[in-house]
Amino acid sequence: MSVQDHRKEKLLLFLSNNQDYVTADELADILQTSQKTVYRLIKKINEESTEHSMIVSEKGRGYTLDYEKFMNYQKNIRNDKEDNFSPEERRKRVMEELLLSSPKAINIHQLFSDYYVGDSVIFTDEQTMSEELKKYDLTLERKNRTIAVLGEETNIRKAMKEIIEIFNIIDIDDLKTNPELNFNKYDVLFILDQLRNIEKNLNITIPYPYNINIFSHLYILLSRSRKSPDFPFAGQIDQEKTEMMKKDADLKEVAEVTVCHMERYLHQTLPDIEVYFLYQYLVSSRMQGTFDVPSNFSTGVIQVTDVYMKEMSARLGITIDNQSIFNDLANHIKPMLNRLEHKIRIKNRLLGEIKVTYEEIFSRVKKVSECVSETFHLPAINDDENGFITLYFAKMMETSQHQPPIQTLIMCTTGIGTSELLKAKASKKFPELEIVDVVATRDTKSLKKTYSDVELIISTIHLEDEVPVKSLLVSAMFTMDDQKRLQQKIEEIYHER
Amino acid sequence: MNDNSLFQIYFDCGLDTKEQMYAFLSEAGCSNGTSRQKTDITRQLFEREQAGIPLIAEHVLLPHVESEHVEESRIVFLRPAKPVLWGETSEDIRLIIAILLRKNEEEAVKQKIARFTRSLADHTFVEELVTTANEADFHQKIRTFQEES
Repeated sequence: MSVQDHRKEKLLLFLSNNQDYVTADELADILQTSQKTVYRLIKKINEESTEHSMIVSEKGRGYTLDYEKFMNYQKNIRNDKEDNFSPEERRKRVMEELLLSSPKAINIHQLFSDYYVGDSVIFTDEQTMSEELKKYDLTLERKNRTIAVLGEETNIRKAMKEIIEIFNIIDIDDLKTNPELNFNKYDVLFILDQLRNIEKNLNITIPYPYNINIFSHLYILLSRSRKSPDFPFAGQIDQEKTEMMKKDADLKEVAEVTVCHMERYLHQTLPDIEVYFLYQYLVSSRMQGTFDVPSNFSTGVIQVTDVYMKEMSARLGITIDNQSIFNDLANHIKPMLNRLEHKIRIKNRLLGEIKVTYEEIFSRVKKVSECVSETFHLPAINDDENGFITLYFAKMMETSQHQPPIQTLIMCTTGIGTSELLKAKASKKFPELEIVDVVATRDTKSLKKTYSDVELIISTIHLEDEVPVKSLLVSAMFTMDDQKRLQQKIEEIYHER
Repeated sequence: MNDNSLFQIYFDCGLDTKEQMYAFLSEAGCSNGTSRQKTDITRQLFEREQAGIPLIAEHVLLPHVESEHVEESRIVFLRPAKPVLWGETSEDIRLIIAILLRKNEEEAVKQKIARFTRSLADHTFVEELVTTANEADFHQKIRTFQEES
């Protein structure tokens, strides 16, 4: 992606996250460029989009996104992509074919026949693919007029998962109904059924993206077995692997049952090592349900989670002292450590967005991850993982879970009119408030005595007497504007604490 | 429902101005009182409005007063036959839900009223009250609320 494309993406993402107008100055700051570049960029985006003026400007206020046009624009981009293949997509598709058939060799012309390209293009593609495959310790071998991918089975599967883009963008609920995905429908239904069985047998649910991860693994296994039934295997289950699987007998049993179902479905025997492969995916997945109980965490998980909590609270300047946050994060760390050990990488499709929206948190998580890897002698924690961890802290910041609730009083003339209504509305929208009481204005004078801990008073009428705490006048309608001002007030209080 | 009930409904009433509405409400709250007591309630309603207009949704006002002149605590619904222009700044009003609270009212009644006010946080409920064209339907909606709460 060029610098300009990157800026463009960042700009659109930033605008799409902001309801208000944003000035060119602010945008320049965010993109770390000059105002002039911002003007040029916006002009270009508006010219390029079929929908004119996707970014709307208003004098004195700045820029904002016409959301509807933006959505259309995004849809169009996606459609465009489906029709023509860029060189990169062409190579991906060819690689996919080669990986699925590995170690079988395929005739070059047959391989490229769909793309109408000449010999020189094919030659360059071969070189680029060969480079790409090196990352997975795989080689591209050319013999006569054929090519083949050679290497260890685990590496081939890993490469497939990363290269076959569709696995990174699918949504499990979308699988059954979305015809554009081009999956074999029977296979999809069969695998979804296996996922359900796994969940049922373990009495858990497997959340996104782990469900997709297991889905991809099983789908690849089916496709591989059909394309080259006699593919050679990297190894058998040795003593060490058998020992490891003893750690979690339930998961091992489920893995065995699932592989057995796969064999029946394929009418073909699968090597024992497939049980071990699936077992690895299962231990590396986050599961919700019975496995959530804190006592299940090993010392390693607790230690790593502790480091994240402590370091992040120091770096963000907040106090995180909440068991549920700890459990949440530990539930993520547990499978993450397994993933690191087994070199399973889950793609984080929100990574770009996370980096822009929570830039600061992300960069701090990254630093802490480096320190974690070093302290616990773990492989480097990649950005996909850092992105996931960032979300835990972002969620905590956004919902202000690290702050004790603000003791709030709500007031109107009678104490049962607009204030009761306001209480219902405010407590629904602002979980950070703890509404201690609803009172009538005549009680203003005795407030300090009765409610010494109150930090905020929300009132639907002008308070004539001076009140000793922060107060906010809102309309009984509790409009968007009121909500915004309340949000500001809450931030003010947090800041002063 | 308009006898001893906490809820009083006046559908399609021929009130055209704010003044008329407030006068009507003070009459509803203290029908046996002196004219001075009634004026006092009207004054309180005006004062409340000056402190902040109790608009709770488009076209809906929720004025509320607490007074020793109120004989019995009430929630009064006024559905004017025609929308009433409410001063310069606010929009035409199609529904008034007035809470007239007797001073030192017992807790049980206060709770009942509070429960009703909270139900107004539900947009759909309020909108239905504003748009219901038929008086019987309006009564039914309030009755349903009473039964459910």
